[in-house]
Amino acid sequence: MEEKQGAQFGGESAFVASLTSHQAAIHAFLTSILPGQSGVDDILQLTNIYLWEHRADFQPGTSFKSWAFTTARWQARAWLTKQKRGDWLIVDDRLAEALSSSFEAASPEEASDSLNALRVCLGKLKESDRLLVMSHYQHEKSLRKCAELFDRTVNSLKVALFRLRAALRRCIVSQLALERTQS
Amino acid sequence: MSPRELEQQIQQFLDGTLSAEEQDRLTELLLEDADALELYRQHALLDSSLTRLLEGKMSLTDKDNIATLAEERSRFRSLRTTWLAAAAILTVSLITLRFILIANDPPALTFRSVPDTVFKVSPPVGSDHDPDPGTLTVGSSLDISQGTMELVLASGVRSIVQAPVQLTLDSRNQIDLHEGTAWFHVPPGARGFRVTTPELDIVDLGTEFGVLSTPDDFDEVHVFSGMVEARSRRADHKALALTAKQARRSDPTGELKITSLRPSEFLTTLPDELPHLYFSFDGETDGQLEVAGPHPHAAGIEAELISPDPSALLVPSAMGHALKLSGDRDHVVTDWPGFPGTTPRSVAFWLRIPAGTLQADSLPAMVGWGDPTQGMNAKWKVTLAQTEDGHSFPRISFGVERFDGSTILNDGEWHHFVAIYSGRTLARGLPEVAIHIDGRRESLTRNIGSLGNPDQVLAVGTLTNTFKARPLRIGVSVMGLPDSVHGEIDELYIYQGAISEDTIHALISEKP
Repeated sequence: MEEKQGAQFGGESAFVASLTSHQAAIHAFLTSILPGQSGVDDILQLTNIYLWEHRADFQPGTSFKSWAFTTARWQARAWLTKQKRGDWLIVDDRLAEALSSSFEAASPEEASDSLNALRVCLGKLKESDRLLVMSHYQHEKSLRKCAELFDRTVNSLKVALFRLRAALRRCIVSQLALERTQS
Repeated sequence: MSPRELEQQIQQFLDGTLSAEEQDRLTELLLEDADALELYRQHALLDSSLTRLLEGKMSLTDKDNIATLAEERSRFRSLRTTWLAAAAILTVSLITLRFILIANDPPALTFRSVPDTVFKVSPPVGSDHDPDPGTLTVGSSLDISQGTMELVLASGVRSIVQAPVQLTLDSRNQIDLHEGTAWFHVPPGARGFRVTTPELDIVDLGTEFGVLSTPDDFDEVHVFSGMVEARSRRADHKALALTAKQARRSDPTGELKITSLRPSEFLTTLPDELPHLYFSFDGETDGQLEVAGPHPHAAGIEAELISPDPSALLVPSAMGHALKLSGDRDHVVTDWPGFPGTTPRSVAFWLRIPAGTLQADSLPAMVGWGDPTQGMNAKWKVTLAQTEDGHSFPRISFGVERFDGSTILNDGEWHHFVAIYSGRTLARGLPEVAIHIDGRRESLTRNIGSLGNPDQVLAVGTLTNTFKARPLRIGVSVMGLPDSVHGEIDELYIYQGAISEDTIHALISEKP
């Protein structure tokens, strides 16, 4: 049985490689359909487990990304149900569908290229700004905790974070465009 | 909803701080507007990347780690156990030394940059692991196309480098500077710090010194304090010991010739912005304007008001004073040659043209420099183009290659005008340019001069050292024609680099 499964996907190593290369994209997709939720990593684990255990079901020639995203959406619903969370914490089905199509249409390297571009863009920030962004994400986006840490008001942090994240997004877009022209 | 409000709501949505009602409204908007959906997707991608990067998550590109999934899948059934912790290798991206989670040694080099600095870090040859953000590892390279950076080596050496720069970190106490302007401060504990350029080999003996290395000129070393040992790499000459206030320049024979010490070439602290010149037009002294700004050359530039009554050219404005030109030969002339070649540049200023006024047929420049020889792209001119029906709109001209915006500017109102050349070349060989009027990017039309060929693009390269080249002029053509601009100019910034939209918005907030 293992041999047949392996042969269907072109070998386990090929499946692992495919799953690996889509991790960043699946994580980003889950982030987009679960705004403000802390369970994205857990759901990503569950998605990976499901995809691995059902790798024999994957039809060669079809879109691995589409299969992975569909699985991720289903795992997200199941997880929220199990956690006894209401449906309003996952985006509208129409929006999830639109986001799925949008992420699927992106290049396979987009998510990892964006991560590399982010590293460059973070390096361009002033040290104080970099610390602020880093602390915000390390403290699970708690403005209150960061306000205490930096001795600033929550409102001033909100404004600063908006500005910094908007700037990082634009920087990543520019960096990716720059890398495309230089490649 | 304005673009800013949309972006704010998207961020709040992803943070989970949007009310249910606002979520519903935003959802409908994202479903109706493809651009808004794309913006949301980009922010989700950013949010995901930041979360993964800064919570110490594995980079998830390691196949070995995924392979352990097959062996240890029973552990994953517990939501308390992360499979990241079971992985053999964790790739953690470090931002600053204070947040090192795994590492025994401090980074070989850390760096920080001025906003709008454009740079690229390459890993050591044969490696595909990029250094962590804000750091270089031994063997990695740094390429800065615009802007300024501060580098701090593990040895304690501090350096300020100005674009264009290409360097490689050869060891924890040695830099190979292929190209660039760099100032170094070497503390006592880092003696023996070494800098090599294509032409020079410099070993520090406890000092502060600067190095100039450009592909089209000879390399130089300038010593400000202490002592260095310098040797030419072109020939096997003895090393020279240079002490404070000495400077040497390499020559074709490999000799190190005496040259004048020029401290103004080097920055010793990291500025807050890209290098730029700033003309406020707030006052004059004996017909001379003050030129400010963090560019190393700013303080030494002479800028003269040309008019029978120079002081009358400066009129009150909301930001102090503005330059008011009548169109009758009055203008500003300087001795600054301008940025040469394909050096990235941005020119930003406020402009008010009286309603319905047309400029002279020669189309004098708001800002211009370079060689105006016809049939070439050897100048840089920011000006207004005009239609037969009496409208003026923005234009960038290199000579043959011209790029026109569409916003009408001769309406009697103040407009913010930004002209940018990135230094890069697009497909078909066209220079990459942008015009922003009042913070909005213009859609540009290519409009080649009468000597141009629409099927061919002549390379762009501003010439500043030819016989016909003219230094920076404000309000008049670089061709030497007498007609000047008819209108007002204020808060003029000339940047060495392509400024970002953030910088543009910050400039606009200071409306005259």
